[in-house]
Amino acid sequence: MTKQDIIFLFPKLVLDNSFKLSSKKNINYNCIAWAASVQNEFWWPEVEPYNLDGVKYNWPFDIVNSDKLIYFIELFHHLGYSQFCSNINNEHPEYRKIALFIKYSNKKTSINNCVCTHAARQLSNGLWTSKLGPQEDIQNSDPYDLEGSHYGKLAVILKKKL
Amino acid sequence: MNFNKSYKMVPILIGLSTNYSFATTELLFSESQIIKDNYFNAAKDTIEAQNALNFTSLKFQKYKFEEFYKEWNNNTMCLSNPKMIIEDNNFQKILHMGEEAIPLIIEKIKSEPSQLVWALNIITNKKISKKSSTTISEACKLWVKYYR
Repeated sequence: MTKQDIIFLFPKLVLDNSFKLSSKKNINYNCIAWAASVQNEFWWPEVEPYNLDGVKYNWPFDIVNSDKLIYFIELFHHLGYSQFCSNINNEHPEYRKIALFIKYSNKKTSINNCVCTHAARQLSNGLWTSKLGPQEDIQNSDPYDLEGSHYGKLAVILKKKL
Repeated sequence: MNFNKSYKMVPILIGLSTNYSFATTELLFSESQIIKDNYFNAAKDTIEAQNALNFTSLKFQKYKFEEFYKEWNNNTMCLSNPKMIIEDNNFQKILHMGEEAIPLIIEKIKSEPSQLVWALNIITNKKISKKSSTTISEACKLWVKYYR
């Protein structure tokens, strides 16, 4: 995709001077794997009843096979992101942060039971990196710019001390 | 398709088996009668019409597939959640094409490897590789090789 294609999908990026494509298209890893700094696996819980090629079904750390937010939080807890954080920029660079996105199925569903849609990771330079599905990685300054019809809302920011 | 003159062709055209005994039927043919009634040309026209129909049907299937693929790609191009990718309406339409979609999917993932390979998992109800380390692009190559 081009920058223009991505801005079409996430219009708030048009105002972000830091926004850039930071990799070539690669279908073999996704945003969750990339948030965990993995570039050769597609991480997602099992999608019953389907058995899909290329998806890492040995979902790490024996976490429950579910696409609910709570299990993605558990995944990143295992990777050292054990504390919740309310601000995307404070405490940088002592802490590395992960932002998790959700889509509400209905307003009565608790956040933890909403489906996780996306993850972004903060880089050491303070910018954020996201893998856009099977497309390119991008860098931008504010993960909230990715909110919208595709990824829904940014629900949780997790942090770990470096 | 061109036919050589052959009396064996005639019983096929009228729905009888080739070893049908002409002695027991009133359906008698002579070469001059066949030429006069233009049976061969009629048969040729029928087969050409059938071929044309098949060709048109294949073209239509391909056209439909391309439309579904394009829409699916537009809707899901930045998604990571396989469930959302699979449950997209256009992906479901490709699945509903069933086995007719397989050669079209193979052609597509050969030129442009993608998560479309999951349609093959669902239509055929199998994975091409049991290794968990197989990537999506490797799986695409294995499927292309399997159907080559």
